[in-house]
Amino acid sequence: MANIKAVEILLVEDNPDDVELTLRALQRHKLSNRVHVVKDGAEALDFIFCKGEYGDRKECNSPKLILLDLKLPKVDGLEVLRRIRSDEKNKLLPVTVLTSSKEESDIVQSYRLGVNSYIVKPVDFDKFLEAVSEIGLYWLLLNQPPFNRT
Amino acid sequence: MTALRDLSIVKKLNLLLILTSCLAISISCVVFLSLSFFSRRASLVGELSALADITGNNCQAALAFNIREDAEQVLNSLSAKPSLVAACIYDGRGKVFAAYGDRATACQEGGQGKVREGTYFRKDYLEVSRRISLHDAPLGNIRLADDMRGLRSSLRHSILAMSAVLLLVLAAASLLGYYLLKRVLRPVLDLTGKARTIARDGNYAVRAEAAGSDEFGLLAAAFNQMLSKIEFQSAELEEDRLNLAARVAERTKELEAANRELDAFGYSVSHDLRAPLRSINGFAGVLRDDYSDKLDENGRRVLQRIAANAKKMDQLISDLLAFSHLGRQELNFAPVDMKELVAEVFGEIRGLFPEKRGIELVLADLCRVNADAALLRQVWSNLISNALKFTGEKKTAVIKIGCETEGNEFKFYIRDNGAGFDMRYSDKLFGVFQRLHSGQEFEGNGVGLALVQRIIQRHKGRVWAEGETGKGAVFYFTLPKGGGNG
Repeated sequence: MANIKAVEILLVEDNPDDVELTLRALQRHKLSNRVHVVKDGAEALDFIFCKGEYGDRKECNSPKLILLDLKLPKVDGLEVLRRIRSDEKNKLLPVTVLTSSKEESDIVQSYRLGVNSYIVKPVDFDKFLEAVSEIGLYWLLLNQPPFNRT
Repeated sequence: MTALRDLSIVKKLNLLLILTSCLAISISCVVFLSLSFFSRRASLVGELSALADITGNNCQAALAFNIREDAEQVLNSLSAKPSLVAACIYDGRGKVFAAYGDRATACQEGGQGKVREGTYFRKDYLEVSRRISLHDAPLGNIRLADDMRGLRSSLRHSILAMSAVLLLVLAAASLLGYYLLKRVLRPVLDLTGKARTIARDGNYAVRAEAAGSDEFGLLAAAFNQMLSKIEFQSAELEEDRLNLAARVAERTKELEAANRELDAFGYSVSHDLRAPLRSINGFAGVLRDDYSDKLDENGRRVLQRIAANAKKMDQLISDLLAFSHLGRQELNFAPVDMKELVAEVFGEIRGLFPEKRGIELVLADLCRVNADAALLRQVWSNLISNALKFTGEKKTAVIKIGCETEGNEFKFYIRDNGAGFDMRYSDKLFGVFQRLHSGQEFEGNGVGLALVQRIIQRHKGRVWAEGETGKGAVFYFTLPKGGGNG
């Protein structure tokens, strides 16, 4: 697990295969050591709000980007999104939904809840690699985050 | 005439009664009066004749001895009869001997010397002429003129009396008639009233009064029978309708439940089936990238097959989802600029075929239609992909797209000079998963045309195709002019 202080990307994904492939993609641009992975919605919320097993994150820093899958156990993606967006401190956090669902209802609902972007995971591996690394590059290097970071 | 026809039946019959009575009474009166008049006149004639004879006889001596004054004296006694306005005595030669009253009336000169005997009905007078003779020797003539005043006045009185009677009778008849008619016609009037009420309110429980066994009674009875029947049938229909409505509601609920299940299913498919696919593809890719140096040519080929199949399955999932979604989707009808749409879609698809070969598109002016643009886009997408796919082996692919108006339909076609197909199997073209070529010749999973057909059918149009192996194919579809709403 990466140094919690230096977490820049929070990856919320329950499928271990997808985790491995995503990390691999991020590795292309050497971003994989700044990633922290949580495997369900509850853990994601604990991390962001520094509760539960993350209760001792002293400074409770926000990551630069949250990669959020939708179908998660315990608390699902949209609910996580809703909770983030309704919290004063964290409502500005950049969130990208990274999911295999192309359903209109999911897309619309995500944007309604204030997601920054919605990416459908391509089945094609090369395209998948490309997509994820682009996302990482974009949000971490190109995009200006809302909070000052070291 | 129409005003007459629209009078109430009571009034009509009453009018008829009155007219008939009038006629009867009038005819009786006229006949009676005429008879009376003529008989009175006849007796007057008799009277006058007798008077003429008597007066004539009394003047025999005067005439014979030519004593004018005597004759005049006798004539003056005629004043006893006031209606006698004139009298005249002629001598044997036809000249006026003595006169009484108004000379101009009775004493015209005989002219021929002879005054004829007889009765004459002049305009205002009755004239009687008699011969005066003594022992059969003619002495002269006497003529009397009567103005028939008595006759006239009595005639007048008669007419007046008759008229009064007539009016009285008419009044009585009309009153009596009105009252009696109302009673007699009551069943009909009741029936009319009831019929009107029923027509207005739709209340079939109303019944007409029982009315004896004459024609009106039979009518009322028949009317009531009909109403009973209608009431009964109405009730049955209503029951049936309620039953049907209940069944429809039930079915709709079932269908809605089924649809919801299908939606959930589709969602699950779209999400859950794809995840393992991604993994398969992904890890095959990892193998390829990281371990290719440890693999021989065959190993690499095997990996490629794995990846290709995963990709194919993904496409299949997309197509199937689109296909199932289509059946339940609502169509959004709007005017569509077909030419623009086709050009756009062609551009997009053309980009997916980067092979170096000539691709020529002949795009004619396309009819404007009312349809769901998004779905039409899918139609063109599939048809154009097919055209480009199946012309893959030609040096130059020529694709012609156009539209014709036929009756109340627009007929669109897309023609290509590609591999074509065997017309014997043309009915299989549009089946789901049906293919007329193997996956080795041309890739595809056989859902594209099924999708096209589904979409066009939902627009209430038709699809069909013609082709010849090796020479190319033409795909047609029609869209109704009105827009095919619903």
